[in-house]
Amino acid sequence: MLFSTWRDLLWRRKRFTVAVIAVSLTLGLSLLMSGVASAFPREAGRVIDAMGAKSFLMADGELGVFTSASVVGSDAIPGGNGFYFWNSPVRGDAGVKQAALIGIERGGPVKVEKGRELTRDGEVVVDKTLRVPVGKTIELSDERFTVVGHTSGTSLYGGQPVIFIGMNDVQRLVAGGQRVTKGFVETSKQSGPAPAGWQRIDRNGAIDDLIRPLGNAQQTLIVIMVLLWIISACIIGSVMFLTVMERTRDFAVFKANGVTTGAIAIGLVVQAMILAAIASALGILIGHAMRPLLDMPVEISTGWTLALPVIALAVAVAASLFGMRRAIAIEPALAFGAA
Amino acid sequence: MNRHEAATEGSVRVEGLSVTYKGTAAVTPIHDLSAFFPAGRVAVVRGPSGCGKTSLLACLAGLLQPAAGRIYVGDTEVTALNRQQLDSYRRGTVGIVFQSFNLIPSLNALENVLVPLRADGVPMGEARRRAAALLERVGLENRLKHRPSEMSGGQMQRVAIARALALEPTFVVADEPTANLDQSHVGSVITLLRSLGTDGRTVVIATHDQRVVDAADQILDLTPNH
Repeated sequence: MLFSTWRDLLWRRKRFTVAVIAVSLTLGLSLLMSGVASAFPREAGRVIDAMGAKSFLMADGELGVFTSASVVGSDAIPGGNGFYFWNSPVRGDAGVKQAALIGIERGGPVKVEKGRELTRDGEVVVDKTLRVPVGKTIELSDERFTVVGHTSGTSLYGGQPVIFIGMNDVQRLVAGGQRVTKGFVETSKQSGPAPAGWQRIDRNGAIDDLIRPLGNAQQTLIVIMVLLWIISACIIGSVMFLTVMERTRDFAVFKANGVTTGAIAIGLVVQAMILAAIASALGILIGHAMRPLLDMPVEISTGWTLALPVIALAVAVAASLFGMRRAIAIEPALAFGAA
Repeated sequence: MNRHEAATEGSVRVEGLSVTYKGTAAVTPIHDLSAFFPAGRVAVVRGPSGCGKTSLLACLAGLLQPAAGRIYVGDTEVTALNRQQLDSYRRGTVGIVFQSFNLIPSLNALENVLVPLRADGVPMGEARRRAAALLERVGLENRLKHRPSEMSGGQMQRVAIARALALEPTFVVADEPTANLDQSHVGSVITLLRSLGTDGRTVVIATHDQRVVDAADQILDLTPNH
């Protein structure tokens, strides 16, 4: 009986098209939300990689290698690569922007895409999204710093550009010149235990620390994604329910002609699945096409892209159950007008 | 036994049939009705509106469960069949022609006739061939691809008759088959229905139309106190 299912879809193609557009927009937005949520840990990972860090050493008792308010003496581990992290507004050519600042030892292993690494005080390497060209200056805490290099993809908190700055400058700006550090960067893989009084934080632990402030935002994005799936289900469900309402007489005639209730139910599910399949394909295109509209990293994973049609089909099956229940209950005698 | 052989035994027997519609006030259009429709005959059920003609046909077609009584088509007690058996009965034994045609608007003439064939599991190629042959038999070989909205009332009723005959039923019921037709189309539909009886089928028609009554072999009058 699938031929009648297909014919009915063509018969109601205008409503079907409107439903496909509405569902594809909601699915596209849900994909976009997944891309935003996925970007938070990935951008944190890229910053850690840009620092050349394999792991970090943090004093025992501290809770966050980047976010802890405490500091230790930079000579606590002789020869260690100290670092610092804080957040501050900076003024560039395009005005004041909030930036994540990471203090590193001069000549530290920052992967510079354009220009060069830090070689002296008063220099910074900035993410190119700060939009300050190499050779220009930025203003930070009433001091000017020269941009000597650009990094790429190094942002935090949904697109906040990262500025790498020398530890001497950091200590002057935030600690009155005291030789302090948040912890130490380990640039090679360590197999032994951490030195006494220290804890070793691996890459994932550091990422967790950096994105902890975004926990609520991530949770909100997930809630929005689920709400968008529910909206999709409501759209598909209402379209299928309207179809069943309009086809009440058709289904009664089908049953009067010996078509089984199961065949009718399968037809409805197939209609919902066709709607969902087309909408999810369009939703994937819409989700990817909308990425440039957001001024923040959006990283739609292959996993989510592949999961979207599966979610959409599951939503369609669940949504069609409402209309299906009604279709099952239609009495064939209705074809005679005698029910 | 194939369906044509069964047709010789396809007489319809109604015993003590009562139909009641429950509501704020229960209505019983048929009370303790008994009747016999021999195989190969065209019978007409007549009477005023509300006398139970359509209800009787719905019971005969296995679409409505009576409050009491039994219906036999050949040796099959239709009133004892379960839901699944009724699906099979409606597919294989009885063909139904509705007053308002009840064609599926999204399907063309050929596809409307395909519905019972595909429901019975006939492969698409064979189903198409048989549906086209049926439409040719009712004079619609040039209207196979036309949707109901593109056909006249007479053409739609002939498609409905072709659909009713798709699975070669031994028993056909028709509810006011000429009620929604222009005068010019009534004659051809009566001739077509009349020809079904000569094929050995039992045909039961509910009608107000005297021309249909005149063409019948048997008349069952449901007029109250008749």
